[in-house]
Amino acid sequence: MLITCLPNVATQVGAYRIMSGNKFHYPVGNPDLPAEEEVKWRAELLRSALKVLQTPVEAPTVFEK
Amino acid sequence: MELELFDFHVDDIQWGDRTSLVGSQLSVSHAEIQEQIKDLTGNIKWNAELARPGESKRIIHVLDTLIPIAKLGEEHRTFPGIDCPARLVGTGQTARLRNVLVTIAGNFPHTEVMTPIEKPREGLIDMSGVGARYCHGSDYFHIVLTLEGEAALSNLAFDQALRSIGVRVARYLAGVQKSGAASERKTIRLDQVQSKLPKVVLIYQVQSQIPLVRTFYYGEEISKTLPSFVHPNEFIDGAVVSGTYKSERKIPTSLHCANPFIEEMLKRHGSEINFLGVILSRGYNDSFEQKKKMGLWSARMARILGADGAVAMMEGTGNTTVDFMQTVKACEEEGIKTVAVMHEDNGARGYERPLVDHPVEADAMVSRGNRSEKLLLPPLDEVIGGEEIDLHLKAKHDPHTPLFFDPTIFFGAHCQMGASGFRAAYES
Amino acid sequence: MAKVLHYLNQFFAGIGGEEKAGQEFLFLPKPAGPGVLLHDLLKDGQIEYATVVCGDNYFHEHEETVLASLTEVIAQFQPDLFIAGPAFHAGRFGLACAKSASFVRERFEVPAITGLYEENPGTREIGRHVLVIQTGSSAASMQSTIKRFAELAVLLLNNDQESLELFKEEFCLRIPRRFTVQAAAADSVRALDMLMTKLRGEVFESEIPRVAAAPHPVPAAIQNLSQATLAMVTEGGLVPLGNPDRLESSRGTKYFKYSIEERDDLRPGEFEAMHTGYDTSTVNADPDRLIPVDAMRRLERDGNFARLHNYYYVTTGTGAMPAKMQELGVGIAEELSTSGVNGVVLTAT
Repeated sequence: MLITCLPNVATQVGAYRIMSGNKFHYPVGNPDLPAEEEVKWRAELLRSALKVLQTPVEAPTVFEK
Repeated sequence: MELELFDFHVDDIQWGDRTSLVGSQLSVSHAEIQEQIKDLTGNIKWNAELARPGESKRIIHVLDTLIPIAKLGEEHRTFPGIDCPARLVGTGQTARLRNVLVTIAGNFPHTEVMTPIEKPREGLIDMSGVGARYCHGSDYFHIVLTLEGEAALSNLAFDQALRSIGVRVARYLAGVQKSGAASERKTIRLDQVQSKLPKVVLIYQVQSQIPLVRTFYYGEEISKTLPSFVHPNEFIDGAVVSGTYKSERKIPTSLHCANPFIEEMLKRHGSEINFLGVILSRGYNDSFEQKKKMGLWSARMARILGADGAVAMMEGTGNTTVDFMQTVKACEEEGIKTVAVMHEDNGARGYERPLVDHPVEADAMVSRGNRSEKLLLPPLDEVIGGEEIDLHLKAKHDPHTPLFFDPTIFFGAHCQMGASGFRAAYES
Repeated sequence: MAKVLHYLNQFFAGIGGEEKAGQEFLFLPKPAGPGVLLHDLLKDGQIEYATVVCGDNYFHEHEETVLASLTEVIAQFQPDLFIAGPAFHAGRFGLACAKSASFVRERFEVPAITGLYEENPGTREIGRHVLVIQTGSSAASMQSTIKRFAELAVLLLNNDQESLELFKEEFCLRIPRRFTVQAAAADSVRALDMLMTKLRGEVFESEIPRVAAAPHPVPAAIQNLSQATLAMVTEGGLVPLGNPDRLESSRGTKYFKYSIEERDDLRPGEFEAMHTGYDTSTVNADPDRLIPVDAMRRLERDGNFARLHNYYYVTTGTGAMPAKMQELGVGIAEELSTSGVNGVVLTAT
């Protein structure tokens, strides 16, 4: 699955499982948070990503976090 | 807001003892230029050369170009906020050397500490030959100032210096003594028009993100700003100045000052359209949500102004296309009929999808051509500005040998391909 | 006296079959294979005819070298016409024909023609102005195809534009691609004209069509994630400090894999991002913000999935052409598949 800040571009290219990232300079980063908080945040984001991997789709789909 | 504009055209440019415009002959004194910029060139090695349309000259490492513009008979300065305190511009009288450019070329002192996004891109100006129609500046007379930043200077200091140097020389040249020189006189104002004419705005999306990749309005970088309403006269007086070095995809300062879209809309004002003014907006926002919001804000401003239609154009490429298309989409959703101008990236052999992002709402597109199509570029006789062409960080190239490359090697290529009337179309 | 240069593979040149697919680039100062018939059909026009030969595999494994050798031949022989193939349905040969003909036309402005079956993958590599005669799928139609080549060759050598258009209509493959052409006015003028038309509610034609991407099959969802091996891939240009493999900072031409074995997270100062399309400073300060090793290790330890693959894969996407990225993607997918990876998390900047 794809974590991107440009989900509309991803659907047009034909990627099937898409999730929005944070900013395009750091798609799975959250530098505003203190270090340990950021890792927790990132783990939660990836946990959602894992759910997406287990979800059947038929067309390019943007999943909410 | 009324501006009286005096456009002088030159037929030739030569070195001379004094800087002056006699008839249509521009003489430039090296010593006088040196005097003008002496407090700005600390730790900068520089030299000056001239270039004329049609000459077999290739200028390399072009960073920016500026049209000589000066206010007449007042304290106010053009390019407000750059190398002078800011005052409002766009009224009074302005003189321009309309077909002359102050061209800043050269190298930053410390490219080795720049992150990839900060690095300037190579930009060529070919004064004749195949490339001349792809680069901005081939039909102008140039004073080329090649600047080499020395080790003691920081990149930011060089960035500031080059901008100040360009602006100071541009003001100086436009302000020189003119004898026997005829000028074209125009009054620029957005008169009230009969209400039957459609109200139209120009949406002008620029790039401004981080130092070395910025655009300035009255000398302030606009990197984190909201869309603003700007009067076309402000552009003419140099209120918008380029501080980005993404050569082929940038809007050079000279094109901020003399923009074909603004000029076309001024021309049609009162006869075909009611030109309301310019919405200065900014692309390269950091996330999809932010891109969408910039689009919403621009559309909201257009709606509040009462626009029936909009022409939208942008600086840059890649992810900023999304900001741009979100703007087009938002305008259409607000009932503002929009035409959008874009370059295409169809690949060297024309197979690729033209645009990075193309929503359904963008149904009125004007093309600037396929910027990935490669050109056979024979060498020109003389090279100004350096010894080697940088092929976008991938290789170096001897400018005296033939080059097979796409228009992205040319300074201001996106704008110029549009101005040259190029577009892309299907061929079998 | 006109000069014709003809590109053939090892088979059609009579050197050998598949066992000779590694044949090095060869110049023959005479026609060979189907070139003999073609030369014969053109004999009235006083033609000097030469052939270049390359093995089907050799071309693709040494493309740069082959094109360099071809450049030397062009410089010396100075052909007026370049012919490649016909390749019919042969894929490797068709690609080589397309690439060599396009190279010659693009770099030297020598008219170039080839002959392909419409499904030949070479049809995806045809440069501007290269003419592709439509052929059948089998070389059984060689004779009639060569006659077509001869007709077209004569039209090109005589620069008969009108007949050329008619010939193209009837006998050439239509491969629509987008190229730069000259419009009647500057973009600013056309934009205002189009706006006026749109505002009046009249019909206008948009200059850039919306083009859908070619569809491909949907990957099935992972059934049993707790037993799955997952890998991370990015186009964000993250490489070990010093960029040992010289990944480009835009338009990556290769992909690389780097080990994360026994790493619980990625440390600053050990990696850097080579990418001109985003501000890399935040990722450089903590590379997990692009390749989320720390988060994935946590999820692996908690049993959400079985194993995090030992390597992450990287290329640089900014400014890249989709076709190239697709090629790299296929390579990465093959390696991951062979390594037993079941699912991928891709991060894009």
